[in-house]
Amino acid sequence: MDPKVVQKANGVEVTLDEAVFPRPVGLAAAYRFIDRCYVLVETRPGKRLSVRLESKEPTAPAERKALAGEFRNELLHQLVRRQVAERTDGLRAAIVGRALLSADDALAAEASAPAAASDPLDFQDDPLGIAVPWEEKYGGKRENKPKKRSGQPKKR
Amino acid sequence: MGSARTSRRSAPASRRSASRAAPPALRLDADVYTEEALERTRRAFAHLAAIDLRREGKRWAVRFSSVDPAAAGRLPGEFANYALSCLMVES
Repeated sequence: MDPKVVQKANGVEVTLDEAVFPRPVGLAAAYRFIDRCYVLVETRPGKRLSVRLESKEPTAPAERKALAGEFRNELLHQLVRRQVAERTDGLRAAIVGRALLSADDALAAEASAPAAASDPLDFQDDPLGIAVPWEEKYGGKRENKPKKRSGQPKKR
Repeated sequence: MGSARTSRRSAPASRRSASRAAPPALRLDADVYTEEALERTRRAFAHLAAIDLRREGKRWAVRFSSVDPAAAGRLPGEFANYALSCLMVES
């Protein structure tokens, strides 16, 4: 069963499989115990990580068992925290970016540009006819127009 | 990374007699604890002891001498805890 717990003189040693609990998760969980315990982290063969928690105060066996249980709970907490952080990474970046840039309207509009990219218009669409060549658009009409006579004053 | 390195600091004469009995030591896994974290920790604890940090194979050997008597019992454990917190800051 993973993680494996072994009781020591005044603490516990918990051995984790890094395939289940990545190293940052194990370190973060261990870090939460430095106020109560002396923490020592070591690698073990087979991609395993050993975390030794030695209580700063003398402890009874029942307390050591509780300590191991708390550490296992903390491992799970840190694992979920990491997974949520990974899932919401883009969203957090967008929210923070938007908040920082909201003071400047131009920059805020620029920051929201990726949202406009989801617009259904294709880049080849040309609703205003901007890409139509001038000759195609006005060439025929111009030939039908009567030529203005220059040099003659208008009659009033 | 593999080069051995030694760092020594002198401590006040008043502490020297206290540390003669049993100089505490600590061995830390070099695969977990980075040199930067340990160096930062060594600097933070320099006022409590003279700390010798050197790489020995896959481990860091941390030896304390001229230890402040008030901190002697807790020093290695607190050193390891502080090094762990430095690792967390680095990551």
